[in-house]
Amino acid sequence: MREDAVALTVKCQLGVNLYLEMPEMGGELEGWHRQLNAEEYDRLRNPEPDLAYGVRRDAIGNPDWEIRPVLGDVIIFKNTELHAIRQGEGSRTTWGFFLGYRGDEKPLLVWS
Amino acid sequence: MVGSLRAEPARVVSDLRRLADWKQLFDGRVDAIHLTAFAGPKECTELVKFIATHPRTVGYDNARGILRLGNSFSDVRKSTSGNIAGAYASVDIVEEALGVSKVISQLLGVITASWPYGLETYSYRGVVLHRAIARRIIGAHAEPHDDNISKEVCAKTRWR
Repeated sequence: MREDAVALTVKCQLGVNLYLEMPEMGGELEGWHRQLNAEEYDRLRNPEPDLAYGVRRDAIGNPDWEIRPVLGDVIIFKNTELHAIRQGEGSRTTWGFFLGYRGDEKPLLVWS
Repeated sequence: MVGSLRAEPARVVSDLRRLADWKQLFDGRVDAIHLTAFAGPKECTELVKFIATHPRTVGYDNARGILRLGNSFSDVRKSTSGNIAGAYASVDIVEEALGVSKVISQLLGVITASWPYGLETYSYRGVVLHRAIARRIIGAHAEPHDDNISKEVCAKTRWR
């Protein structure tokens, strides 16, 4: 199987984050139960060049959930769904990677 | 814009030992797996120092206030320059971090042990991708975004 075809077999992609440093206030992880295809993503992309990796918050409404990890916590979530990090005062450092679920009888894929 | 109305607290599963714990996340019964106090303060401090002082820690040109150590396949799709060719030829930071703190191997170990078929490193067109990226956000936020290997592979990314 071609390796790019392997990627297309990923049924669920997860983000894994180990929180090494958190600001005293802010830094929450926010999630939306919403996925965008490439065209939608580009259409909603933030027009500011230095924020262009993301989409406009005012275009997607309020998040469905949020969580505030503390130092040393691990959080694993579906990162194909939209997610964001709230403004924090201070530094927020994470160690992270991705996991790909391809079915119960296959290894989880890991990459960054 | 950096804020919004508060959302509901995430629904979480707080253990990761068996396939059933993963299934709760896959099936949408929870929003996240949340393992509290996985690393101790000393381990966190050691890794932050490693990341903050590493010569390969760099900023993004399209994400103000965010630094990274390591490479992200997602960045190919989101970057305005798009050129990360050769990035994965560098040393995977996991290899270096294993010498800094045992918590890195413990995290991979918990994931491997809790999944019956373990882990497999993803390789793309013969390039073995790396297994971690550290991110440091200083007084900033991250806009809503996603990460999706299927979209990234389909985006005809520029591998030069």
